Amino acid sequence: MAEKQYMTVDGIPVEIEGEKNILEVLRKAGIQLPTFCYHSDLSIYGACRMCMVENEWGGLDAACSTPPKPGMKITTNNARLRRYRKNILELILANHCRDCTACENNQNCKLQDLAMKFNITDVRFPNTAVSNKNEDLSSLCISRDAGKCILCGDCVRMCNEIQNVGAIDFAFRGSKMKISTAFNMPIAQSPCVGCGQCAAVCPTGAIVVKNNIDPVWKAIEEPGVKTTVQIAPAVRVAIGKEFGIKNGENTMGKIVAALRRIGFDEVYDTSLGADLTVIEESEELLERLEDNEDLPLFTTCCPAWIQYCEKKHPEMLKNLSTSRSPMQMFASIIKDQATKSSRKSFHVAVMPCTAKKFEAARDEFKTDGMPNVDAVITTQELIRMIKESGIVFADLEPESIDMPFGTVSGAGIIFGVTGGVTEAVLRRVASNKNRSTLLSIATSGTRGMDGIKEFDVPYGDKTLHIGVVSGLGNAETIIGEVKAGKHFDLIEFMACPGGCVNGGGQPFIHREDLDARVDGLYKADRMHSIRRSEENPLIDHLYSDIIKGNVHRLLHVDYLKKGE
Amino acid sequence: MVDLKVCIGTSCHVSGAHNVIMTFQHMMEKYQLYDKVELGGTFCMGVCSGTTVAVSVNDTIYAIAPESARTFFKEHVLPLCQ
Ligand code: SF4
Ligand code: SF4
Ligand code: FES
Ligand code: FES
Repeated sequence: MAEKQYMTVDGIPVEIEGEKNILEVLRKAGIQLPTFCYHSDLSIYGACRMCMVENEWGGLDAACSTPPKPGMKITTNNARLRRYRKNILELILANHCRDCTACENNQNCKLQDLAMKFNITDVRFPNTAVSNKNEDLSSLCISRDAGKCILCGDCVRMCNEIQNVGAIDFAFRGSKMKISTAFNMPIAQSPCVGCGQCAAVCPTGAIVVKNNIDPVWKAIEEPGVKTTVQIAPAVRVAIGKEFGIKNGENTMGKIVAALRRIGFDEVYDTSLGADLTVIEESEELLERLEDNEDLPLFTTCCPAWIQYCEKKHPEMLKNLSTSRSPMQMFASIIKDQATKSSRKSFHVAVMPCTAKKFEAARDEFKTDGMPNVDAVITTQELIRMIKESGIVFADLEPESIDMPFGTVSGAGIIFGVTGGVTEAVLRRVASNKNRSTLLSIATSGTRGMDGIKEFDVPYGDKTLHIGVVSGLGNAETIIGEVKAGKHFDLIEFMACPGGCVNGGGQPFIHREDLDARVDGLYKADRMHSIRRSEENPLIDHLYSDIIKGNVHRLLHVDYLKKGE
Repeated sequence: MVDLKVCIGTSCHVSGAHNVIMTFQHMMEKYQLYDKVELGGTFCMGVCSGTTVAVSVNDTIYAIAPESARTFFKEHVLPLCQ
């Protein structure tokens, strides 16, 4: 066994265990240095200089880009370093819009947070921000304000390295440097797919989730309008932390209660839509397997992935499942029911996702020219609405969702995590309905946070080869393999690394805290007496009554048509 | 009217009775057979095997593997609807 290696941090020895940079060693030692441009999943940029430490010769090293060496002696905190960091912060602030109270990311901003921690009460330099508002509001998913950009490059690396989209990049040099789309065109016309991952990593309010709260309040307050709302699986495990509840705890009951207090007439669970997706997508898979046609089947719950496929691989569109996303399945049933009533209806979806805002606006999902989902708000926006309402979320007594759509299965809940859709489909497809089959599916390879998972499962006398990917860069890799001739039967795609639990509309958390959200969903599934979509009694009822004869019209979509 | 029943007894249930029902349901929808076929569930038909699902078509009982539900429907139910 190799001997243990140590470095000295502020006079204390700390073990080095293969960390890539000093920053990681420090985090282990309980020291969290300020950083702007460091994200563990992205490449090292080393531009913001906030993470400087002093070496034993008095020189300064960037902790994020310096590998730890045995015997190294560093100081992380002294008057000089504090002055240095304060100086950087002041320089950034001098070139930054400072209207914090009017910012979407107020209280949710690294810059604001650090300015507070370093007690910056006065900025000694004149404010030279490009303008206080220099916005691009063209996208339905994200809003950009260049006046708040600190050029850390986090968004650029996210969009290029992880998502392989490359919608934004650095333009110009020196003091003119800025983040821009190609030819500075509006982001809506760029290759952007609306995943919102750039907004998730942006340390300031320069890229934020598009705000759709106003139309929701308006509908709630308009007399005579019936407001209905559906809540996506991943929301329930991401919201609690913002209100002082344990990270990852399933707070569905409280969310339902909060939405009722806010004024919604009916509150539902998108997981029922997910159950329908399982049924339709499974049938499609079995049909394609039997006819040996258009394999592999690509899942279509993720609108950012669909846009990616449309923009980058239009020749693969025939592989997309024609099943609508859970949100759209549920919405078309709600809207179909509403046409039978004289009351005006307004349907809202609470999603972990910025891309769903775009999906809601697609022509494919309209009835008589009106979108089936009238407004999509993200988890972040719901949190704001709850705060605006003065509701003390933590104190709410849990309530349950409304009838007639009140039963969901555990399979519908795990849609919120990468591999969940696949696991739900496999539960439906497997013939053996024993408890042990549930376990063997769970351990077949569907679970875990790896960006690309690949495994085999038996089906009758066949073996199905399955791929599960999250992150669009990984999607690109697997599509490359498919094009090179590798056989898959089913591939699940989610644009956000880890799936919707890590969606662009969720409150930001560090990667290491993501597992709690994932566990929260799997736990909710385990606690359900109905684990399989086809065993949800409501499903039977829907097919034999409510949507009978209209399944194709209500639950399917043809993405190919648009390409033609 | 074709009388199509799928057993949802304990044995057939764990052998995938719901898979069969879902596929039959899908075929009904695909070919819009609601005025030609009546699909229902029934209890144990006495042919439990532990791996197959019992299905009756106009009182003829079959024990089928759930994976073959689609083929079965095409071969034994669809022709009766013409
Ligand atoms: S939303 Fe996604 S695709 Fe669009 S710019 Fe941001 S990271 Fe890139
Ligand atoms: S992975 Fe989920 S949250 Fe992310 S873009 Fe896709 S559907 Fe939205
Ligand atoms: S975090 Fe190290 S230089 Fe930005
Ligand atoms: S349980 Fe179906 S035949 Fe006995």
